[in-house]
Amino acid sequence: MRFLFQAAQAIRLPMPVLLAGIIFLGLMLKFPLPQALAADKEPIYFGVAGPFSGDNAEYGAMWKRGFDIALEEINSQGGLEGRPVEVVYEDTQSDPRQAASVAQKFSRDDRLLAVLGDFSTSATWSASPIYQRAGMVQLAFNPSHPDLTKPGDCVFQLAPDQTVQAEALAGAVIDILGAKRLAVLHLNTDFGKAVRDNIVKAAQSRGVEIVTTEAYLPTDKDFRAILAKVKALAPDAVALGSYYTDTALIMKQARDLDFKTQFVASSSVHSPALFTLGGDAVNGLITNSVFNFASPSPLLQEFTAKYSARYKENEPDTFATQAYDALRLLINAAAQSLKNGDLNRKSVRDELAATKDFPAVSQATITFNAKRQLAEPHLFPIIARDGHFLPYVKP
Amino acid sequence: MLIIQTLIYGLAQGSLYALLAAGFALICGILKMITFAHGEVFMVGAFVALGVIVGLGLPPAVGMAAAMAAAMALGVFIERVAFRPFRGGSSMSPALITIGFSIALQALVLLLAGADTKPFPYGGGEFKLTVGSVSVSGIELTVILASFILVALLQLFIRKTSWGLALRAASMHFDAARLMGVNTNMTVALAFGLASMLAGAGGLLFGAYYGAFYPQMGVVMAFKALAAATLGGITSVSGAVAGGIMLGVIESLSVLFISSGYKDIIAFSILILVLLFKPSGLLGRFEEEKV
Repeated sequence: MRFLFQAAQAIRLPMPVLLAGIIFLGLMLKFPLPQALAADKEPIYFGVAGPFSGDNAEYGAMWKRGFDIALEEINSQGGLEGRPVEVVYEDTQSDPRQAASVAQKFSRDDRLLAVLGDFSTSATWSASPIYQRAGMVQLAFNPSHPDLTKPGDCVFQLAPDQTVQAEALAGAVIDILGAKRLAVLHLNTDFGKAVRDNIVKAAQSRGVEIVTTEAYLPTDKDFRAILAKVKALAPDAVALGSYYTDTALIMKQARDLDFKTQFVASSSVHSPALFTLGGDAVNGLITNSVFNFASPSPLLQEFTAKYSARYKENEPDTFATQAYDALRLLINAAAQSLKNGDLNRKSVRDELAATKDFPAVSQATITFNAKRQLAEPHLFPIIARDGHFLPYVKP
Repeated sequence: MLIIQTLIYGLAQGSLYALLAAGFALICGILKMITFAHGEVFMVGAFVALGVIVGLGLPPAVGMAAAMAAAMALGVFIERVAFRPFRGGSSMSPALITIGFSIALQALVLLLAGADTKPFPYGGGEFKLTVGSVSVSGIELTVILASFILVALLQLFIRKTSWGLALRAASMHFDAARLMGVNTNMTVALAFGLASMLAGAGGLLFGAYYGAFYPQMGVVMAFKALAAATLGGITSVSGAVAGGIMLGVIESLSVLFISSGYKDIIAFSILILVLLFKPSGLLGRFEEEKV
């Protein structure tokens, strides 16, 4: 103690400061800060541009769940060659204007190797040219527009596109149920219009009459007037180009109107949230699942178990599974690049484009074709029944 | 009979617009200023009611009272912070501050309640009043009747009480009313309180009617209600209510006769046309009795 006191006098520091300094040093040595350790291995960064506030915030929240599980998996194994994987979130509200400015920011951020998102086709397209110029992968894993990847060779699509979805739906409803008259209700967005066009085409090629197509805005919550009009036209089935929130409201309001018909929708409604919002009213809705939970692969079983344990829900949804797969695809592309000794934006793009038979959750395996879309998209018809989705088989 | 059915839907939607539009008319009639946070007052009222009904398990009537109380408190607070310090000054400052309130309140509710759309725990499909092929469900009746009663109570308050007299006096000539001994600070706070109570009640009715509570629920509603108030005459409560109901009915009829995609184009074209020929709105009058 006396020595310390003399030392403090010698270097002209008050005693408490010196003591504090010694304690601090000791703590540093005993408990090295985690950042200090990780810093010698630079993390691998990916950007995420999606809706984390605004009208579509709930879908962004689902993405986060899928990303978090994928990140935990890779980082608990020590990352990629010791480098942790991190994602950088930016909120675009899936608004085309904000998507473009986020794209400017992301493409200038040299840490970022690739970008995941956006949620809507329109927001994806407004950002595509910017990522394309930066030579940066834009893996838009939710949008299902058939022309999504047209802007360039950096744009990738993970969802089975609407031509495939429409064929599958038309097959389920028309071939199996024998519907003769079909009405289409759709969001007035690039996505909704793609659903409408493809369903109309698939239905007409089977000789089914389209009684009406009605568009609504993403902000609309009142479907009673539309439904009353459609009900009067007496269709055998109503096809929806909608997400789960609007689908739940549409089917609830249809029940209030005593409008009993067969509703079908694209895979964008496949979420347990459909039941929290729609309750019994959504019973009987037929849709496509991107993942085959009738006979799940081991990977899907593992993901479902992790998801249920973490989020206390029975089953994952389309948005979380696609987010999980998308991030794993990028991690895989980065791992392949590291193996070849060169990791940059171009190597990630090339490795991603070369993805072949990659075991995944939202599809059993993923292979990209020359248009950077799924080479062999598989869809599984499912039906909503009493709070669960069940594989749909002919009644 | 499809047209009568459609008219009923239009009436229900319109009465929700009317609840917000009446609030715009009350505030604008006195202050000649617009609040951009009215939709968020509506939304906060809805979420408070949902919390009381789902979280505490209390009956919807208690939820309605809580919504109105919380919305009133919020409205009076907004008046105190965003409007009173700038009275007599530029109308830009309050407008900008209320835009800030609007964004901040949405973000706050997003953080507290989460992003997912919340359902309303009571279904509306059990009770039905059916006449021929026209049927009105319990929730539609509730929305229409509750809005009607609230607007009627507001009118009674304005016409029959001394506070109502103060409101009317302040809306005719603010400074003269103050010189005549009207407590204008209290009167303005009262206008905000009443407007916000209607908005809070409207929020719960909206959430229950569509089965959806979400942080952006007030944005489009407030925007359309403001347009409806302008259509009817923004400085006249009865005009604003009439404007709200008209907007709802026009929207529904354009879905029936033309196409749902053109709904907003038609409704707002009519709005622009009306304002071209009658700039003060259908029932608005310049410098006469306004509230």
